[in-house]
Amino acid sequence: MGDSISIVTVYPDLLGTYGDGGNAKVLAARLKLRGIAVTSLEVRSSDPLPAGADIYLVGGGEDSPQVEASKILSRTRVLHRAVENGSYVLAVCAGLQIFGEYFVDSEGNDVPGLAILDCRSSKMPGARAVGELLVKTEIDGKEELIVGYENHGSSTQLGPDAKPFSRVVVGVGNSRTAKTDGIRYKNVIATYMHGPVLARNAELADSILRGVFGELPAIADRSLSNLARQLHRERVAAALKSRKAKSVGRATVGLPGRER
Amino acid sequence: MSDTETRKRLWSVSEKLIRKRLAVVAARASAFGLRFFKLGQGQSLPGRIALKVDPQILAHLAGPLEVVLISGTNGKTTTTALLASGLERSAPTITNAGGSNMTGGIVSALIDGISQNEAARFAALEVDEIYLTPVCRDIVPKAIVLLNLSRDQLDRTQEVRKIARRWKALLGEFPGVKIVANADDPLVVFAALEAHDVTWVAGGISWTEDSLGCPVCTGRITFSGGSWSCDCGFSRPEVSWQLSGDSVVTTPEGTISLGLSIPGAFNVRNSVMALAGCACLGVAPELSKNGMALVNSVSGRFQTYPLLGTDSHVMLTLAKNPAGWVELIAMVDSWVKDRAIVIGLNARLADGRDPSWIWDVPFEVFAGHSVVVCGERATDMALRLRYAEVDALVVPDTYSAIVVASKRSSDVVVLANYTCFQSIRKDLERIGPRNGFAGTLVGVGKYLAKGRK
Ligand SMILES: [Zn+2]
Repeated sequence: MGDSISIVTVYPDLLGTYGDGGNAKVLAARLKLRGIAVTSLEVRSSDPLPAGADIYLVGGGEDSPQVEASKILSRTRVLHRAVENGSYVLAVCAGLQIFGEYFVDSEGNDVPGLAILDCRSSKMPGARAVGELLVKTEIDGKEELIVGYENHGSSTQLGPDAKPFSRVVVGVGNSRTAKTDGIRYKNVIATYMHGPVLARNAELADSILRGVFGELPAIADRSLSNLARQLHRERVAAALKSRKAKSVGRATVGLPGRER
Repeated sequence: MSDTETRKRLWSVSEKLIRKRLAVVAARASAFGLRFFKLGQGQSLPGRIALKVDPQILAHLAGPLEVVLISGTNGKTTTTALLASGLERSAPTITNAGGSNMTGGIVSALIDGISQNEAARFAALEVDEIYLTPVCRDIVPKAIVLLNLSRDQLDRTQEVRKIARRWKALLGEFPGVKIVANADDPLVVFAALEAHDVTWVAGGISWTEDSLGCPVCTGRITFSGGSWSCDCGFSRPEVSWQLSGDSVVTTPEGTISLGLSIPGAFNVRNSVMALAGCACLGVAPELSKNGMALVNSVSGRFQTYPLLGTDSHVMLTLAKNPAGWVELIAMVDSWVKDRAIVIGLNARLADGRDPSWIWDVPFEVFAGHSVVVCGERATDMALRLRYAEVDALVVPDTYSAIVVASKRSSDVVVLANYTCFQSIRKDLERIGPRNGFAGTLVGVGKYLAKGRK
């Protein structure tokens, strides 16, 4: 892929329902702002997935497209090789579930995933997890608050040696009992956070970029950096406020929505 | 039948009548209360009270009417307004023009409509996508118009496909209902597979990202040359109503030409859906199109307001999800040159709590331009725009944002999502001179107060 940093968004036609396509836009823009060359590709499921990209982004999707994406990715094994070769991967929600050993389809059947990550997902007991998700995790040696939005009906159980991505401060994450969100393995970060997570957390975006590029020059556009920091602050504050405001069964059941 | 049985039955009949009466009285009292205390925005409250008193009230109210329900992600309110105005040319028609489209709001609209015109024959009612099932079971409409399905408020609706599956199951329950369906949207066609009496209309599709995966098999749908198909055989049905050119509609009975007053290619296609809906209720397009031509703004959409204390005019537009934005961008593209653009974003319950969808909107087409951003989630929108190389000035307060924009150009276009749109509309309507002297005074006060900040 030449001299520029290559970013591949995996199957946005199947895994692009929850706005996670924004992660690629943020990464590409933050490279461009620093004068670093970047090639960002959105690869649909009808086209071959290129091997050897620096960064792969896998987003959230609906139940049946998720099953289809898992089938194709299991067959081609591009992501298996990429992870072994040290490519960076950010997998969100359905993306997280696909990377595990099993997940469930809309009928509740177990569907085999890529088995790259040591985790399995099953139907979550109780209400769907919907709302702000605030976690603590270590980024480049520093403890950081990362904030996103979760919207999922499955919970994810990690294997005994698997390392969660973060500890949950507000929200559900992997499950209501584990108090962790996501999973880290090699250069893979998997999480339940939409938002998109890299738009809300520029630190996380830059940590992925540092992994690929090495030390990054500063972004000259101060107002953009300030705006990114402000969004992070606002969402962290909103998540903390939402913890105070809501009790356990906050997700909607039955016919949701209030009339105006 | 024994005497006691007869008495029991009579009692139950009269109990039902009494309940209905009580429910209507309670609803009217609460509606009066809301108006009297100027509580506004409470369109659905009287209906919700009536439902508490009589859970069957919807069936009772709709019983004597010929009802058409309109549902879909985008264009519900406008299509309903067009349809109602079309039907009105033939007979008095009730509608929920305020856009209150869940059960309570529909009950309110029916009570209100019947009290204003007891001779009403038709009702054209907009229904929330998720509420179509319960509303349809109570009302049993004569026809249903299905517009389109795409991502919107996913924190509430969870998945677009789930709605399509719900619709499909519902239409299987009511084989006698006439369906007007958008043949260009695969998810709508999938939903209508079980229906017996379907009028296929070329309703158009501008956002295909939610229907690329086939809803019938697990394959891929390919769109080309105005049609679509999947290898499994699922494909676009033959249409009997379609647009040819900008404003000529081909119908099963020949062609007619439209003369709409509202802008936008998508509204022309909405009106074709509305024409077919009117035809299902026996109102011919030659007649209904005259009604549709009278519609010049729909609940503030595309309405232009004067901005008090300035020579500026503000055009208000609703943009609440990626599909809606993609429709509008074609128009906005030609506006950005000589107008000031304001974009408003909230994330309340009625908007969807998660505005991640703004990243699916191709704002990159505005690169190099400058936009004023407002609303409770202005920071989210501003950052989205900045990453798209669009200059964004954040002025969280909606009215102040419009005033700031009016200094850039006397023609201001506001694009806002649902609750943000509603609050801007309220501001502009209250402040506009057409609300009389008192309204102007309040407006001047508000303007001065805001200007000082
Ligand atoms: Zn198919």
